[in-house]
Amino acid sequence: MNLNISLSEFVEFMAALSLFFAILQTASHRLDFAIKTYTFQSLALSITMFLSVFYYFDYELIISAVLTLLIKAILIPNVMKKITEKIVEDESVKPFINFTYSILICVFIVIFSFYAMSNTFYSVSSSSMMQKILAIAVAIIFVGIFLMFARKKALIQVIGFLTLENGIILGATSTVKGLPLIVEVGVFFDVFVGAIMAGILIFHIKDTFDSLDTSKLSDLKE
Amino acid sequence: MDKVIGVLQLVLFVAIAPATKGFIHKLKLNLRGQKGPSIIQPYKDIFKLLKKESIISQDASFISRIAPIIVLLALIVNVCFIPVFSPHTLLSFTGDVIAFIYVFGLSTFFMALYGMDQGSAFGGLGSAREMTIASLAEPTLMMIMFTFSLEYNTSNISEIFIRVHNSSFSVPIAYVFSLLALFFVSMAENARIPFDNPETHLELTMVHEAMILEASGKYLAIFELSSYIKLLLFISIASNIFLPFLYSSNILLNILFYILKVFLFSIPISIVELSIAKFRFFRIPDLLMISFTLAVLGFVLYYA
Repeated sequence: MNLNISLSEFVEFMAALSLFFAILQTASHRLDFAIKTYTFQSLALSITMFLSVFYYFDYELIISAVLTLLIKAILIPNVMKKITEKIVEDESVKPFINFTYSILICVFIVIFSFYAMSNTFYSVSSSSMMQKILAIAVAIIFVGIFLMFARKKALIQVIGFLTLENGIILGATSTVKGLPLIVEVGVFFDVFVGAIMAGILIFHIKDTFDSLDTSKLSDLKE
Repeated sequence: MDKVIGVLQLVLFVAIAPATKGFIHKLKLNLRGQKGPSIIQPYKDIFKLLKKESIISQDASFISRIAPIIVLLALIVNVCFIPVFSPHTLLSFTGDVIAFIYVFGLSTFFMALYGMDQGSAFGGLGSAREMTIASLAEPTLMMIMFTFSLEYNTSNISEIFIRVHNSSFSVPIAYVFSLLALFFVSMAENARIPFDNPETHLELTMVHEAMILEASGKYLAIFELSSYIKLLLFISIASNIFLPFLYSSNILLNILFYILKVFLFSIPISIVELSIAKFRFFRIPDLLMISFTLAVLGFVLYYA
């Protein structure tokens, strides 16, 4: 048997790894573990983008890969870690939907997105790799959305939003070979500022309600 | 000739099963900085136990006498299914992946019956936990097996083995996901560390040890031997499916490669056991669901 791994398969593998880490976030009981998985997820995403350069021969993707690495895999996790250290006293994520069900729902999300993408994209694309990566990207987006409404803590909802963002970037890479550079830089800036804003908002929630639990936001106070 | 090779595979498999366990244990202790017992210690244990008297509780029924033998026989049948170093196995004419998984189920079932039959409090507790883990691990194992039987268009294990080794297609890299899932499942089925600690008899956490707590003498020897065989079964599947490169037409060379591969695949087990602690029992479904996710990912990536 020959060991014959093509580049496209490796790109697929890294994208799938990113999806796996996204699913692992829904299984994490603690905030610091969720942040760690987010770091790995972004790392896998940036490797995917970096390898796509050699597949598409579009060298602007290098810049976005490096930006992903810097902002999503280093900067944002560090900001999140600082916030956790400063204000979070109990690290559990408080689920609305428990962890086992969450993972099972994620499995269904994966199957659904592969099924949904199997027919729609076929005629447009010339390569099956793009199709698979698009399906993975859609699955990551759905997992991010799911994470946003299935958990009570504000911080993990922010992580859900960032996961969704990762999915969108991956989808953009696979379908249109990356956005124009200026748009991409704008998006990264947007995400970074968004993360910082979310951090400030979390501080305010903590100040006003003494808790990060978003289900308590509607409680009345005198 | 085929029959001879089949018998040879069975004998070799049973012969090196205790050594694998000894190797894992030794490596783990060495990495921890301890000296550890030698690799042949499990053989000595088995021979020591065989010489000792076996005592059965007064409340025990005939199940206690037949269960150890059925557990061992079921696993031996499974050994006859899987190709060790050659596709000519004793039961290759009928070896089917689904049968393989259900014969596993049979051995787990009788193990659980044995645990409950003794009338000790720990036995029932261990059986309940074991059945929980086994029932959650089974779908993942099925999913992994289906991935391969769909890939090679057959459910016969020997056929899969031949096609894995002969076909020269590109290695689907998402097999990594299947391998990871198989790793989780084998840790769960063999009561190894994230799921259960095989070295302690702490009553709150033990699973596998709780079921065989009452066993003694030759029954305990049989149980120990079957747990070694079960571990080696999983290692053999993993090494033969996921590392089919070391293969030649020379039988002696193949035996050597096989033993090498078994030791290679034992290394991650000891490293994982060294680096993480046992999980809380209520976290185990999460872990098994993650392994199911991995299996589904591996499956979906190649058939979507």
